[in-house]
Amino acid sequence: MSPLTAFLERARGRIEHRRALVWAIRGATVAAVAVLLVQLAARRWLAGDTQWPWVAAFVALGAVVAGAGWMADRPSLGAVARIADQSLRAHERLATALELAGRQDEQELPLVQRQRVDTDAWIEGADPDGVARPSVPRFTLALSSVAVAFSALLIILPNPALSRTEAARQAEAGREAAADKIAKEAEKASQAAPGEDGARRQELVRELRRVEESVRDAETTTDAVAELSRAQENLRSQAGPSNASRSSAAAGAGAALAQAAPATQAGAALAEVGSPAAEELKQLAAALPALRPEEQAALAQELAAAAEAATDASAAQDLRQAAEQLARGETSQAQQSLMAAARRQEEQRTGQAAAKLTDLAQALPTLDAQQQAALAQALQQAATAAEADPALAESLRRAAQALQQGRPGEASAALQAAGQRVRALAPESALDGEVASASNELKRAKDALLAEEQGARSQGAGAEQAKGQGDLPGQGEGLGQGQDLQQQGKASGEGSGQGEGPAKGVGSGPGGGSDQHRGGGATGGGAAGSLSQGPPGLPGEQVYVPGISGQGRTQARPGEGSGSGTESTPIPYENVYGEYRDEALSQADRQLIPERLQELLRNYFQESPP
Amino acid sequence: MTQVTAVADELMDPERFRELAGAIEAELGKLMVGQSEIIHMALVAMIGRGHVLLEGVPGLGKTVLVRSFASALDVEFARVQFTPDLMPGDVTGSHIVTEDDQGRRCFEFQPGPLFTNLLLADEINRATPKTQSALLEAMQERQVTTGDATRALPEPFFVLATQNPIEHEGTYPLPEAQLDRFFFKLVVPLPDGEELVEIALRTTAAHEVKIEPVASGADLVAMARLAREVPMARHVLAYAARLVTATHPDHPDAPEEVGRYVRWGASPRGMQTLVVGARIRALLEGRFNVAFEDVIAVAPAALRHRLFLNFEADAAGVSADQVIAALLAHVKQD
Repeated sequence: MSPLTAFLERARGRIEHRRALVWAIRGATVAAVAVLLVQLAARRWLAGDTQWPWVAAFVALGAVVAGAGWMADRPSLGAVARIADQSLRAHERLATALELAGRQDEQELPLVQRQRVDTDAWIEGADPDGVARPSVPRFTLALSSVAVAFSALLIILPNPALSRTEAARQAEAGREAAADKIAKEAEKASQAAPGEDGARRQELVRELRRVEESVRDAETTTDAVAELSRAQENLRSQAGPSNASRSSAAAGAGAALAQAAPATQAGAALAEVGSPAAEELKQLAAALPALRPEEQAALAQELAAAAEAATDASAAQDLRQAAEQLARGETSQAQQSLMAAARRQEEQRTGQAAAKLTDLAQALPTLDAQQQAALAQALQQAATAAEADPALAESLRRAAQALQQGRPGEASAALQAAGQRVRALAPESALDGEVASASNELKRAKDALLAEEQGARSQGAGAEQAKGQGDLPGQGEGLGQGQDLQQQGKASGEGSGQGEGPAKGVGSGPGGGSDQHRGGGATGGGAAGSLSQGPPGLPGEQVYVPGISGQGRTQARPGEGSGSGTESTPIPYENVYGEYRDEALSQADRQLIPERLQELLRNYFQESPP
Repeated sequence: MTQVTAVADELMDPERFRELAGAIEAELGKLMVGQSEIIHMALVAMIGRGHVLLEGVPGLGKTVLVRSFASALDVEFARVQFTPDLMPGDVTGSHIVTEDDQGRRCFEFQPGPLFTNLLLADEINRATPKTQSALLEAMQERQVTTGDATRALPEPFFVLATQNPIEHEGTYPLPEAQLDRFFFKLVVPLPDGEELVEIALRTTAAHEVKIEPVASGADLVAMARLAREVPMARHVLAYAARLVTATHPDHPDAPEEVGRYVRWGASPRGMQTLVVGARIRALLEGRFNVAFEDVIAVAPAALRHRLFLNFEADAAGVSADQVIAALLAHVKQD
C-alpha cells in the first residue's frame, strides 16, 4: 500500500467515525421529531393506544435512517482525498496524486513523478486526524434535544384524546350492553301466548328489534338515549291504559249486569275481573327491585304466610315459590313468580266470567219474556259501562238488542262472543305486562347510559354529582282508576313527587281525571307515582307500571253517581303558556340533557308562541 | 532579432523555472515600483506564450514595464504608437520598390514592427479597427500574410498592448475577437504615496537604473513547455469549466450578477487561458499540481476582458471584476 493510499485509508476511517456520529444524531433527530409529531397527533387524532406502535416504528425509522445514511455516506478514496485536500490545506495534492496513480501511461512523466514525490513528502508531515476533526452538528443536536424534551413532556402530561377515547370505548360498551339487554327482552317477547293479540306482540318485538339495532348503531350515547326514549314512547302508546280500561270496562259491565236476576252470577263473575288482587301482585312485583334487603326479607315472610293461607293450590304454589326466591335474593325470579301468580289469578277470573256468560247464553231460551226484558235492559247498561272496551260493549249491545227484538238465539251468540272477549283479557293483560317490562328495560338501559355519560363527564367528581342528583325532584306517574261497583266512575291520576334519595321517589299530588260515566270532567285523587325502577342518584323519570290501578279516589256528586269529581273547565292555552314555558325551560336546563336538545326546546318556545 | 530555432527535448527543471521567473521579477522590480502583481501576472502570461492587454491611465509605467521585460529577457523589442491614421501595412510591413544588382526594379517585402519578439502596441485603441485587425493573425497564428506570402513571426512573439480607459474621444474599442486573443488583461493600479516617493527616487536621480537580461527567449519557450506538463486533477479542471460556463447569462448555474449584467460570457479560449495560467502559477508557487486557488488567482485577469457587459452594467457602474468576484463566490469547488 502506497503512503498515499495508507494515508487516505486512515483519513477515511476518521471520516467514517465522524459521520457515524453525525448520522446517529440525524437518525435520533428524525425519530425524536417523528415521535413528537405522533405525540401531538395522538392528542387530537389517534385513537386509544395506537400511538405506541407509531412511536416504535419511528424509532426504528430513525435507526434505519442513521444506518442507511451512514452506509450511503461512506466516502470513496477520491472523496477522502478531496476532503483531506480541503481540510488539511493540501492544495489538491492528494486528489491529484490519487488521480495520477490511476493513469498508468503517465507514470513516467517527470512532473507526475515530481508530484508524487512532493505528495509523499507532504504526507509525512500531515496528520490524518485533522481530516475529520470532532465536531457535532449543533443545530441537529439541539433540534433532537428539543423534540425529545417535548415528547417526554407530552408523554408525562395526561392525554385528553386518550381520555376521550376511553370514554368513547366505555360508552360504546355501554351501548352494546344496552343493546344486548334489549335483544334478550325482544327474544323473551317473541314467545307468543295463546289467546293474545298476535299483531300487537309482533309490533312489540319489531319495536324492540328496531331499538336494539339503533342503539347498537348509535354513534353517541345521546343518540342511543334518544332512540330509547322514542321507543319508550312507542311502547307506551300501545300499552298500559287500554288494558286497564278494558278491565275496568269488564268490571263495570259486570256490576250493571248483576242487577238483572238471571245474570246475577254472570255479572258478579264479570265484576271480579277487575279485582285488585292481581293488580296488587303486579304492583308488588314491580316494586321488588326498589326494596331494601331487609324489606325483601320481610316481604318474603309475608308471602310465605300468604301461601300457607291461600286456598287455591296453584296460587299457593306461586306465592311460596316467590317467597323462597325473594328470600334467596333472586329478585328477578321472584318478580316473575309474582307476575305468574297475578296472571293465573287473571286467567281464573276471566275464565270464570267467560264461563258464566256462556252459561247465561245457554240459559237464554229458558227465560220468560219479563226476565228477557230485564236482562235486555241490564245488558244495555252493561254495554254502556263497557264503552272503554268497544268489542265487549258491542257484544253486550248486540245481545241486548237481540233480546229486545225477541231473538234469543242471536242474543245467545252475542253473549258467547262477549265471554270470549272477557276470556281474552288475561292474555292481553300478560302482553301488557311484557310491554311494560320491555318499557322498563328500555328505561333501565337508558338510565345506565346516562349514568355512564354523566360519569365520563364528571371525571372523578362522581360522588359530588351523585349527591346533587339525589336531591333532584323525582317524578312519577301513576294511572289510577277508581271503581265503584254501584256507579262506574273512572279517574286516571297523575302524581309527581319529591325524590327521596337514591332509590325511589314516592309521589303524591293532584291528578286529573274524567268521569266517563257522566261524560264531564272530574278531578280525581291522584295515585302515587312511583320510581320503583329508578337507578340511584338519577332524576326520576316517568315509568309506566302496567296494571297498577285502582288507586284513584272518586268523589261522588249528588245525583251523578259516586265516580264524580269537581267539574273542570277548559283553561286557555295562552293563560298557562308562560308557566308551561318556564317550567319546561327550567327542567331542560340540566347538564344531563344535551345542549342541542335544550336548544331545540328553546327554539320551540321562541318560534311558536300562542 | 532573437529567433529560437530549436528547443531541447528535455524539460526544464522546475527549480530552474522558478529561478528564472524569480530573476525576471527581481530584475523588473529594480525599476518598477508597486507593480509586483502586474509584473507577476504579465510574466505568467508570457510564460503561457500569451499576449497582455495593459489598461491604465497615462504615466503609470506601462511602456516602461514592457520595455523592461524586453531588456530582462534579452529579446528584440518594437514599439508601435497606435494612432487613427496608422495603417495595417505600417504594422505588418509592406512591399516596396527596390533595385536589384542588375538595376532592375522589383518589389521587396519590408517587414513591419510586428516582426519582433516583444511588440509594444501603445494605446492600441486609438487605431482604427482595420489596423487593429491587422494584429489578429499575428497574435493567434504568429504569422503575417501579405499578398500571397505568409511569413512566420519570430519565436517567441508577444504583444503587450496598452490602452487608456478614460479617453473615449477618438478611440476605437477593441472588438471582441481582438480582446479574446489577449491572454490576460491587467489593470495597472495607481501607486500609493510611498510608491510614488520610491518612483521619484528611482527615476529622477542621477544614477539611472539599468535592466540587465536574466533570461532569453529560449528560456521562455522552455518554461512554457514545462508549464504545460503540470498535472491538473479532473475535479479542478471541472471547476475551471464551471467557472467559464457560469459566465454565460443563460446558463442555469450562472449567478444572478451574470444573468443581470453580462451580455456574453467567456469563450473556450478563456478556459484554455485559465488552465494554462493556473498551471504556471502552480509551478511558480513551487507545486507540481494545480490547486483551486491557482485557478481563482488567474481568473480575474483571464476573464475580465472576456465578459461583455450590457448597458445595465454600465448604468449601474458594475465592472467585470465585480461580476467575476460574484462568480467566484457562487461557483462551488466541489
